[in-house]
Amino acid sequence: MIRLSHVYKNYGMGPDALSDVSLHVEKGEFVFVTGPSGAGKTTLLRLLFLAERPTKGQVFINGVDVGSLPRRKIPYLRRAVGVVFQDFKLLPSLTVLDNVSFPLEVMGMGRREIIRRVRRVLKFVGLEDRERAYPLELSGGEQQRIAIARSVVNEPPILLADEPTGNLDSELTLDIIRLMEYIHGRGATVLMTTHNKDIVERFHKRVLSLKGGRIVS
Amino acid sequence: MFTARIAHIIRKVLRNFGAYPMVHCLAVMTIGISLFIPSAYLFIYFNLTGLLTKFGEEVHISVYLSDFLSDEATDTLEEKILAIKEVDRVEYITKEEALVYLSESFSGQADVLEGLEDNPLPASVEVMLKEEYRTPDDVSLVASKIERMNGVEDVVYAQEWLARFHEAVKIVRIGGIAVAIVLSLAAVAIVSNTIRLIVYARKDEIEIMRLVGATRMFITAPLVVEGMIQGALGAGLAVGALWGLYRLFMEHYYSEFGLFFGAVDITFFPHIVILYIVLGGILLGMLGGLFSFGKSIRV
Repeated sequence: MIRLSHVYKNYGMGPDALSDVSLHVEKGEFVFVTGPSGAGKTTLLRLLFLAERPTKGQVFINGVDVGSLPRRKIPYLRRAVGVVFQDFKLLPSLTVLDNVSFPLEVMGMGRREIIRRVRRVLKFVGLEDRERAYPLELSGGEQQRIAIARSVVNEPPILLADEPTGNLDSELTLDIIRLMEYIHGRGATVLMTTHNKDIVERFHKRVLSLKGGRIVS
Repeated sequence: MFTARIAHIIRKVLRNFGAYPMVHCLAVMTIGISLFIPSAYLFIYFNLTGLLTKFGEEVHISVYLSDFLSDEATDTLEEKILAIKEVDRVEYITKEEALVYLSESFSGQADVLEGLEDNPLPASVEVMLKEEYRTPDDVSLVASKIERMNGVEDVVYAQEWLARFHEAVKIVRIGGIAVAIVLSLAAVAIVSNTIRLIVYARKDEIEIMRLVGATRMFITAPLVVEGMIQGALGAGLAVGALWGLYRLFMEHYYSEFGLFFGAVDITFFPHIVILYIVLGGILLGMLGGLFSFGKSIRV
């Protein structure tokens, strides 16, 4: 599902953000990516949702070599990848309904079908009664659930989460992880970065440790 | 799929106008102001050239005829003058008419002309040239042709005045085009910068759209449509403001300035020009929308 082969990433100055990273994530795996700040966790994820291209090496997503993909085809590959961020990245001027609609609008889906699917996914994250609310009217945990709803509303085979619990207290953190587990249980391949050791110990998943841009275990 | 996209664009545009009212008002006002200036200029230019065309009709050659010319000879001379290709029309003025005109221009001081036994004024032919030949060179060329004809006593035209007038027309025309180009470029720059600000204000939204796999077309289309609507509204604002000022001037100040303007009509734009200004605004908004992204939308 995801394969990296001797990948290097350098932002043009300083040391390599990623250095000779090779990894393979099977379809349906759940992987924690851990490591201290600056270890290259975020860079790794950015390569996977195609916000960055590798300086050297190859990245394969769904068997497609990202490096040889023409620019205009990138949006279509992105639709196979849902992304969740630490800071949620919701638009405060739009309602929950409109925020979650984005991935479906992009696909050119009809409005009625969009609303049907958004309601279904909101029910799935337990916020079906908040579709008219604006993000800032919600708590942090609720906002993150909305962000997760947005990332999975179009049912992408891959879900990436960059420190999704970084802004949440421990109770809410567990909620979010359970939600991610649930999504994983429905068939998605999940990659989640975290520097929260408790989580990694509590949920027994494959763990990928990064340090100084290299995989250490 | 296609109708869903169109519906999406419409929905998106409406939602954006609702979600960022201040930003859009700002854009409309910016386009309005940047179109108002060239429009006001165009307005002045139009009326000035109208004035100059009116003056241009005054360009004529007075041909004074010998007193001893027979009627037939006068007719022949008139035909010969009309045969010159630069000549548009001629007007024959008899000795008597000339005297009437003169006494009219001395009205109130009729005594000036009292005591004249004979009519001392000659009959004349007023020669009007075609519009494209009302240049100093052509006028003196025609005048010299007429001067050589039999029965012509004297040829008079305002050489000095004509040369200056011609210069004035040239300056207004060339200067007009130059200023119009500069003002239009300035308007494009202002509008594209405003739209760039709008795009910047919405960079989060654009980032998220890219993230969930929006194509460039999908992101651009609503912005371009918004630009076009802003352009149309801005142009409407500019023309409306100009029309308001025009009415204000005509109702309150025109009569006072009437003497200065020499009773020349000041007219507002014809409908077709208003349409052009609105189309110009739409084009401006569209180009602004297309060119404003640059790097911000690069995938």
